[in-house]
Amino acid sequence: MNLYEKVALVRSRQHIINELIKKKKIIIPPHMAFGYEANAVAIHSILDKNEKIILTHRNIAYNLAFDLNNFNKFLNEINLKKNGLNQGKNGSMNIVNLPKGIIYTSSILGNNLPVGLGVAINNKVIKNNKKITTIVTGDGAMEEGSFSETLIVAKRFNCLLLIILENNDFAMASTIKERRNPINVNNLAQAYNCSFYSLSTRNVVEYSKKLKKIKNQIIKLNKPAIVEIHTSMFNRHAGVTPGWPSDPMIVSLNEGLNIKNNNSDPVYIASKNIKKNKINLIIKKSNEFIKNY
Amino acid sequence: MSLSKIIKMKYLEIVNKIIINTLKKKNNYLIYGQNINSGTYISGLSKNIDSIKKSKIFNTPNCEYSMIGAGFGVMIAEGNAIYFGKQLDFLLLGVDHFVNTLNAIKTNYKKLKGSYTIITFVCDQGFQGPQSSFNNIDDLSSLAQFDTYQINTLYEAKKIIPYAISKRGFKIIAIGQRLSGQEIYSENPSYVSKNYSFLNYHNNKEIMLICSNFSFYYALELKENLLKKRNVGIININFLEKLDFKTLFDGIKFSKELIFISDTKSINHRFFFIAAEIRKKFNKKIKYIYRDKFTWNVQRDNLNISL
Repeated sequence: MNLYEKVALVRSRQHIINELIKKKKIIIPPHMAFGYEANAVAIHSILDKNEKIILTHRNIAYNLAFDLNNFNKFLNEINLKKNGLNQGKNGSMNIVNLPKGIIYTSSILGNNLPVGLGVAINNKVIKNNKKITTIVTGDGAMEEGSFSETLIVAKRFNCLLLIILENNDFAMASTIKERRNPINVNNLAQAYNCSFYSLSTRNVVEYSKKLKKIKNQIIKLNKPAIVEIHTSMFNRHAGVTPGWPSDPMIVSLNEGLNIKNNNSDPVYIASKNIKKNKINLIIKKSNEFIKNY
Repeated sequence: MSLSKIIKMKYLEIVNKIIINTLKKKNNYLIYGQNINSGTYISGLSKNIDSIKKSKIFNTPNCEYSMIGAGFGVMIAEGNAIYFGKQLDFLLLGVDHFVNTLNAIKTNYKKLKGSYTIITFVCDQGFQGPQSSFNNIDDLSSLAQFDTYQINTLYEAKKIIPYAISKRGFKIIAIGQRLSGQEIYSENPSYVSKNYSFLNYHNNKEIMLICSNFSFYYALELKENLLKKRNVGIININFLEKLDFKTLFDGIKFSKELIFISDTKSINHRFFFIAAEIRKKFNKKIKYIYRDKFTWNVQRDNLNISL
């Protein structure tokens, strides 16, 4: 399966969960990540065995992309079943998958940064290897003090740290404009003597190639890097958010895999590189799954 | 047991020596904290740390929240971390990790291969200003019920410090700053639970003084003065996830009276929990000595140990 097909598959599985949420067949509705699929698939493509990733409450795209063959286990986890990925103990916001390198996930904004920092310090200082540690964070979490602290300490130890800053413009229901001044992350990274890169095309193959180069640069320059990925978020919370009538986005598999038919949707870009019959097959199988669940 | 058993060794000197000697025997630990190898070496707590050659020592930026959290990352990555926290109230900046991070790790890691130990002063002289009300390590450890060891005596320093540092998982070793300059009590306990949850300095005396936090020397004072004509033993409690109640019960079953002593300025006394467990099994006379009020602007706030 190529990267474009993986993006489509991750999207289809989010659709399945979203439809099951509507049917009230999910006990713990996860924070959906429609629009994040290319980020997750691209990052998975660049990590070596034994390299670790640290996630946030909005971990669904990563958990699906990192373990495409265990969708039922993920579903069972968010339905709190004993045969779930974490024996039904985590629900949705703290799901880990240790064999796949997802060793810590936090429901607390900014909490995962120091923990990932520790993993990176251990690699650099104790194990003395060249393994990259990846931490996923966002434009809301970077407002927490732990973001700055992590950069200070990561540079102190010259950690081989890849910080993925998914900028979706939202912190819960508030846009950046509604809650603060814009922050130039490039300038911020420079202030802490860390590298900075920006990705925004939503093209998974391009992301994968660029992230591979960035990974090599982290090792070569021997310092942490922030990669700001401008990310579309097509629905904002856990499915359609109860009590939030202004949340406008109702995503439906009936409309197809794509949510937007333009370049803001990584699946629109991916689908242009996948044969039509494969897309149709993914949709057909998804509908069958929902019907039989 | 008497005050004459207090030997001419200062509490902090011996605690420091044991910490450093323990760490010298460890390989490839990450040892870090603010000012651990500069200035006063954390008021002497990390003195001679540079003599440790087989581990990595880092003086770190402040960033307490992230430094505390990083130790958990080292631990789940199967490393061994030692974080020197200057004083207990600094650890408040990491409370999120003691609750959320630790609980997430407890949920997802059945057996940890790594370890993480925080060594910190409990500033309990009363001169620290507004944070003086926070001298109770139990307030912190009760948040996610993790192991904390309060070092009071020479035996505890010699045995518990190496034990706790070597143990897998997370724990805090608390050092009483109030005790720093005083001579350390050196008589061995008569009975100790396997996990060091209870240390009995004589079992089944007529009166047993049960101490938490850094109350041991108040108990000694009580024994030597107000109770000098009575037959008195002392039990020190460390608050661990698994308390060895059998050891506790064996040590008090023939005693007539129990007196719980807490030197904390908190109203959150975990000895009430111990007392409740004792009441389920025994019908004994129980007294409590603790502060019912504290104001930080009364600088030296000694515990009134009248009976």
